[in-house]
Amino acid sequence: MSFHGRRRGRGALALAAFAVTVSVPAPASAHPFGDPQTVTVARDEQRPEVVHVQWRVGGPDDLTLLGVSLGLLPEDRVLLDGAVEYRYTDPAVIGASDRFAGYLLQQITVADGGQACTGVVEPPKALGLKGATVDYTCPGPVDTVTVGVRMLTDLNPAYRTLATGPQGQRAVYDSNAQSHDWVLDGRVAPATTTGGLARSAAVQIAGVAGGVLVAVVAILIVSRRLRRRRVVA
Amino acid sequence: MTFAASFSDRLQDVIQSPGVTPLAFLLAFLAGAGHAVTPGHGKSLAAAYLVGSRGRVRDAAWLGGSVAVMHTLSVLVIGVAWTFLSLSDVIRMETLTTWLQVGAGVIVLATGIWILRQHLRGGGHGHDHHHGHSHSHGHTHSHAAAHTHGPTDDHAVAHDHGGSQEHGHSHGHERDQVKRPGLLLLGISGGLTPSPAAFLVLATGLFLGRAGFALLLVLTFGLGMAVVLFGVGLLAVAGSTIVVRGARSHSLLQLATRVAPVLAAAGITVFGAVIIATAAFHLTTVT
Repeated sequence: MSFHGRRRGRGALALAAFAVTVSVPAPASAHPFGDPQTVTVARDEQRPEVVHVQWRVGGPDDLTLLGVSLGLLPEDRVLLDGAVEYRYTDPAVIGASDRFAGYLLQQITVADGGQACTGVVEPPKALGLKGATVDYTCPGPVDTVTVGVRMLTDLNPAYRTLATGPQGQRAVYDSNAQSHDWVLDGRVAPATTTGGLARSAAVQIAGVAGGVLVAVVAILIVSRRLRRRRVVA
Repeated sequence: MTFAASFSDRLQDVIQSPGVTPLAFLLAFLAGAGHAVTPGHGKSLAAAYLVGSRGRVRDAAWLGGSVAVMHTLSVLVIGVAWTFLSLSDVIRMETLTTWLQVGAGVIVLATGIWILRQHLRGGGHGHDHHHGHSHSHGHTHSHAAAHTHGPTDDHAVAHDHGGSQEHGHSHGHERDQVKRPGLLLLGISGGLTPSPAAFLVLATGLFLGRAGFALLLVLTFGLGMAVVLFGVGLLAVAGSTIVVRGARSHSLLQLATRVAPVLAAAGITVFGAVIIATAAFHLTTVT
């Protein structure tokens, strides 16, 4: 077999492989595993009985999907294969709607000692970029509140919400964990603050990286020894 | 798509469940493999490159490995920046990943142009002369001894000496030097854009204080991707031998294959340009 024959044959396969390659990228689809939606919980600095909850959508297609489910956008935006066709005008349409405000109040709840706080949705200015904020007024000044978040999980239970609170407190909401207590008066355990979490993460990541490095070096040493033995044999 | 999404879904559950189980790593591996099977990870590009550049089993492993390493690094850097450095305040993930796709497209484009130049120039002469002597005295033997994948590769090296003069002394050692950077570049482009599922696992792990476990899952996810790409590379390497046998007996196929390597290189270049154009168009719609 000549080298040129081999080379040409591989070239043909390369061409065939390339023909398969040239395919149109898949359109955007709603992705509960994509850019995660977030929630930020904070107490008003002037009024200690008011809690602000800001919600930001993950991907723009998630917002469009919500708009379709609320009847604000045509259903044909969701294609048969589940892909979502989103437009830059969608956030404004959704943000201006009372149905969206009602959905926010229904899916995000705040309670202080079992007593529900009353929410009012601030008119969103740039829903797609900055999200929407709901101001919850509780019966009295709050130290710790229970915030329930069920955003988008009615559309797909796989949606998750990554939430942050004062001093870097963090929580993850999903279908199974829909409620979390937030400390708003500054008496937060050090381990749950941003600094504590970051330090813990740095140590853990360094540990994993070190372990992987040791494993790679060990594999290289063993494979070299095996290679030498084969050469000798 | 569906089964990959199912694994990804269950993967999100295990990061939130207490304890570390072998099932979690199995799920991460399967989710990574399922993710790599879906379109758009440069599998065909890599296969084309492996075939066009006379790739071997080891090269396929390099390709898979580089995708796994790059993907893990990409998810780690973006996940940490997103969680602790308020990355989302600076740039939206949608925009960031689209810019990363632009970067991946530039890498593919550059690799395509580079291969094209290799073909049109008939191989890099500078490198050939530089490595020619050391190779002829020892490398053929060490390669044959190092690999266990049969006579095909050994023959390939042997034939190179006899018949590849117009391609610039294509010795085994020189081939590695020419091929590896291209493979690594394609691997990097394949792993540059983080998988949404892997990113979410790491971000969730960082939020819950389980960064180490999450990183191990992301690493296993990358290994799943690597195994699929390695498999595609193996098919490309093995399949080329079969096509070669066919080419010997079919003159039409021989004629078509004569220009195919250059066309494949040009195709990779064009595809890189298409990726950039698609991502650039997407940027204009999301920003």
